[in-house]
Amino acid sequence: MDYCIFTMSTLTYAYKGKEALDRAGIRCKIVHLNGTETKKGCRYGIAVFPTERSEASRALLNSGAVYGDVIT
Amino acid sequence: MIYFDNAATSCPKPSEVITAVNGFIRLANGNPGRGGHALAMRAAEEVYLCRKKVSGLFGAGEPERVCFTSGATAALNYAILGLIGRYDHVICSDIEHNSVRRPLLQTGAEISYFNAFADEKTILEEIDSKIKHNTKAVVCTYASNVFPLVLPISDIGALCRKRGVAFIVDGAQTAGVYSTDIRESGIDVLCVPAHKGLYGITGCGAMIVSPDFDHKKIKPIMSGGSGVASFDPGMPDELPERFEAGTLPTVAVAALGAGVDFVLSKGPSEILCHEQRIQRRVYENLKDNEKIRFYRYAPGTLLLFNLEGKTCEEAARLLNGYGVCVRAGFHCAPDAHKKTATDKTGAVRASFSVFNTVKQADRFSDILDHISRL
Repeated sequence: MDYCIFTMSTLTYAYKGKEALDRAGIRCKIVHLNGTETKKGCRYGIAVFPTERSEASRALLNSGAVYGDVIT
Repeated sequence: MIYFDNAATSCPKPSEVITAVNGFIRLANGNPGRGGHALAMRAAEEVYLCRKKVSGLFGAGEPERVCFTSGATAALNYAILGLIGRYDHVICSDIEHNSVRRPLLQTGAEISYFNAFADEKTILEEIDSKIKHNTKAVVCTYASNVFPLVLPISDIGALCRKRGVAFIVDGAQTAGVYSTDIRESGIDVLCVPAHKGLYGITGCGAMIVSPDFDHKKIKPIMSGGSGVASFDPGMPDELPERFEAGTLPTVAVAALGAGVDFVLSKGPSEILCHEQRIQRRVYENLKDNEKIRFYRYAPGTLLLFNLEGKTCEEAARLLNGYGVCVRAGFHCAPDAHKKTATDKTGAVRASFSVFNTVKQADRFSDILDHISRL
C-alpha cells in the first residue's frame, strides 16, 4: 500500500484534520472508505505517506481532529 | 421598489451571494458526505469552509460547532426539543416568536415568563428568582422581530452560567447585525437563519453550539443518513453530523458563506449603525404625524406602527400600491403583540437592511404621510 490512512469519525473532522496537516506541511488527501475497509459502513479517512505517519498523528491530535484506526 | 421587509428576509442579495449560488451549482453540485468523487468532495469542502466562516463570525471556536439546518426555526426545534423534557422547567421572555413559543409548548415543560419590557436589572432579578431545581434552560430571543427591543443577552448568559442553566438564544433578527461572541455572551446554543442579516438565501440556518456546552445533552430529534457509520443504529455522537440527518441544503450553505464574507467586509457594527440611521430618519420624518402611531420606538433595525382609521393590512396594501414592501399582521409573535395591545389589530412593520438608503427613507416617509391622510 502506498499510503497509510487515518480513519476519521466524520467528514467534518476529515477536513479539519486535512487543514491541520496542510498547515504542518504534510502531504495528504481525504479518501472515502467503504464498509469493507472500516467494518462500520462508509467513513472518510486522511491518506498520508507512511513516512509521515508519526508527524501526521501528532498534528491531528493537536488540532482536535480525533481519528480512529490507522489502515496501512 | 422600496423593500422594507428585511426582518422577513433580506432583499436584495449581494452580488457575491448570487455568484456563489451560481458557481456552486455549476462547479460543486455534489452531495457532501455521500461518496468520494470529485463533485461530492468539492461540495464537502465548500460546506466545511462555510462552517469555518460561521464559526469565526460567532466565536464558536471550532467549525464542527456549527450545525447546518433548514433555518432558524429548525435550529430552535433541535435545541429545544432535544434538550428540554416534560418534567423540566424553562424560562423565556413574554415576547417570543412562535419558533420559540411553539416548541417550548410542545415539550410539555413548565414555562415561566419574564417581562421583556422591564429594565435590564429587573429582567435579571426576575430570571434569577424564577430559576429552580429543575430549570433546564433559559430560552429567549436576542431582539424582537416585532418592535425595536434588544434583550441583555450577555447579562442573561452570565446569570445562566452562574446558576448552571443552559442558555438558548434565537438570533433570527440579530445575526450579522449585532456582533455576537457566543462564549463571551455565555450563550450555549445560538440559532440563526442564513437569509436575513447574513444575506444568504432561504432554506438554511445554523444551530451553533458553544464549546463550553456538552452537545451530547441535546438528543437528535431527527435521524437519517449521515454519510458515515452507516451500520450504527443511531446518529453519530460527534458534531455537527449528530444533528445533520439527510442531505444538507448545500447551495444555500454556499450562499451563506458568501453572505458571511459580505457581512464581514462591511462589519456588523457598521451595518447596525446604517440600519439605525434609516430607522431614525423615518421616525424623525413621521413622529409628529398624529395619524401614525409608532409602538415602542427605540434605536433599532425596525419600526412598528399603525395608521389611524385603517387596518394594518389596508395600510400595507396601499403602500404596496406605491411599490413599498412591508409586512402587516401579527409577525408570528402573538405574545409580543399582546404587550403592545395590538393583539386584536396587528400592526405594520418596516424593517431595514444595509442596502436601504436615506433617499428611500424619505420617499417612504412621504408615501406613508400621504396614505395616512387619505
